[in-house]
Amino acid sequence: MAEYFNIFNQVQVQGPAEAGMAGPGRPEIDRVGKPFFSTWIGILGNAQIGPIYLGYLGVVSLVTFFIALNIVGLNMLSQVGWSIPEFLRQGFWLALEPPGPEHGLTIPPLREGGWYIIASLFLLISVMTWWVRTYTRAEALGMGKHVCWAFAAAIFLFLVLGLIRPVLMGCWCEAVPYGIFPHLDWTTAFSIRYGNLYYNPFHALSIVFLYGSALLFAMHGATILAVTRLGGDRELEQIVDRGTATERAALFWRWTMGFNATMEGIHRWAFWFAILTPITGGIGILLTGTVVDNWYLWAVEHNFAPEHPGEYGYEAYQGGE
Amino acid sequence: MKLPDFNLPWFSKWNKENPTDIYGPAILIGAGMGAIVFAVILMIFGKQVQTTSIQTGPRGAGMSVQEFNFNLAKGDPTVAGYTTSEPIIPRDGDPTARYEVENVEDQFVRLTPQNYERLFGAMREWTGIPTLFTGKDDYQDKVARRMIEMTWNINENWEGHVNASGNGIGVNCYTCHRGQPVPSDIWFKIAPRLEAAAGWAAVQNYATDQTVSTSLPHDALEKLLLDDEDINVHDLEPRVPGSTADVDDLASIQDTERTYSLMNYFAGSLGVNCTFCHNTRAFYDAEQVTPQWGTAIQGIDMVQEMNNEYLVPLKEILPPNRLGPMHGDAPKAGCRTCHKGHQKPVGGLSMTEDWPELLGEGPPDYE
Repeated sequence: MAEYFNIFNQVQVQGPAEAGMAGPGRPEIDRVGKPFFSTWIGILGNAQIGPIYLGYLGVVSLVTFFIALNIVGLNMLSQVGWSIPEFLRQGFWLALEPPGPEHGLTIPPLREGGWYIIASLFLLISVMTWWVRTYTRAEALGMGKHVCWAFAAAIFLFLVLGLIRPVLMGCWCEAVPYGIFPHLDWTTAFSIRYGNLYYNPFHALSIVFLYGSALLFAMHGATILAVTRLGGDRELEQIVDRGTATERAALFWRWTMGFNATMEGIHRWAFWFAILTPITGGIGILLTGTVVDNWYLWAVEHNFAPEHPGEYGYEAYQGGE
Repeated sequence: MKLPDFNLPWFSKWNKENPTDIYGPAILIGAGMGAIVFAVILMIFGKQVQTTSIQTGPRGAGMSVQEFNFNLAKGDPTVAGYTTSEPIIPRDGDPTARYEVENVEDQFVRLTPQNYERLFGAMREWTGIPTLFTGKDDYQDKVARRMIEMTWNINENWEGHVNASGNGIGVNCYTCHRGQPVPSDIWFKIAPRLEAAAGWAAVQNYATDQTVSTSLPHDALEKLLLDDEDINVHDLEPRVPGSTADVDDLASIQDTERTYSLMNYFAGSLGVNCTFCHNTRAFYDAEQVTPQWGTAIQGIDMVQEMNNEYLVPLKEILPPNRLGPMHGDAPKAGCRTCHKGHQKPVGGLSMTEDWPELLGEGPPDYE
């Protein structure tokens, strides 16, 4: 058994707290919070917690998010007669529900979905300001804007589900409820209503990218941890000046599956797989109910729904194996 | 233990100078993983948690209904409590109850006194009401008379459901009552269960019995087994014009959740899953369903008739403590009322082979 396992960090850096770089516009004045160190967090990663950059957009984002969260939570509480024990008991089942189909795209009374529209508006502002924040923080650190564009892919899906598609369908009722089990029931109801989303080719593509992302992240994470002893975690250095860590990692995969990425390239693979998940998924959702109303029948029309020849009913299969 | 030497002296040196406890986390992870592996082995080979599956459709459709073996072995405990006796076949010229029995019930005047007493004794046992039809003429007698008509109706006109196998199954009082004056698994209107919300928001997102503890709409039984609202929600062509805001033309996601709620109720009432009736890739397709789906379709119509024609009008006769807690409505029947969580009510026993008196309003045919 090797003495050195890179499962958890054995060496934690807990020196004087880093306040981050200075830059044009003096962003350091908006970084709030006295940094502290957590040994338990340090076992997994960087032990320093804080400071966090606040700034105008950050404040707007936080405030609107908490308004939205409170609208959802207080509505749930009111639905069980303001009883905290009942709220805790029914918590996973409760929700703030979108307006019913009879209201179309109008703003309904508060109790019939009006609160939902208001909460959604605050959530939209919160998410969009947070998105701009990912751009400005990258700017302040002199970084590329890749995080901002990646987040934009997720926001695309978020907007499709809550805004673009309901508008195209002419009905707020198509939007997703704010609740734990209810939003999951929504996915089932959506698939049932529109003829089985497994037959939607964009849904299938999105699954490919989702599974691929999970696979790639496990592969990349494991590979880097496996070559940390050779300095592989210093990825930027390895990119510009390839060392034995990158070479061994690449050879591992080349020998395992016949091809490999580079220290820079693997991150591009992961980036594209990850952002294509919500992009293709969002397209699939957008096409559902607008362009195609029954994906199974669409599949039959396009000749790729399989036949299942055989008897239906358990009587046909009794007395067998 | 000696590491394979890959020529990194700085590493070996660092390793020697920094002994680290790796056994702590390793034992923790090993114990956790070991527990998971043990649980999986238990599921596969363990007698306690073994399941039996029946295939209900073609290969590749994933149509299979599973049940735990211990549940199958347990069966329906009320089957043992079923009492029955063979009819006493009358000969020509035998007297009828009309003249021989005191306070004879009009519905059974043409029976022989022996069969009359036999039937009424059985009805008292099946409903757990020893004073039934003993001359009191209280609300229980009034309700019972209507329920006898309901039983005749079910056995005569709904053979497609209660005798789908053709083996002369049918129903009698025991099917619902199982020895209790008030049958288990009756249902009352409970919508809207939530306060402060209105419309669709008030009839879902709350765990209830009728929704089998899901957060799906809890007005499913009321709207679909009492009122005759549409259960179908699918579009039958790949492209259909219109918006879900046209509530009369197209089903909405909310309608779909209500149908899904009803389907969960069906599955729970019979102790089966969706594939007992459907090929789940296309729930709506009548060419990809089992014969049990057809039986269930008849069951829906039968229950709607039972509720509207027989049970809801009983509200006038029943005392207030037998009415619904929220709306004071009459008790209603659903799938679970007869099936009680099993595929075939009362273990599939025939409820009418000993009771031709209950097959219909006409004179009983004792063969």
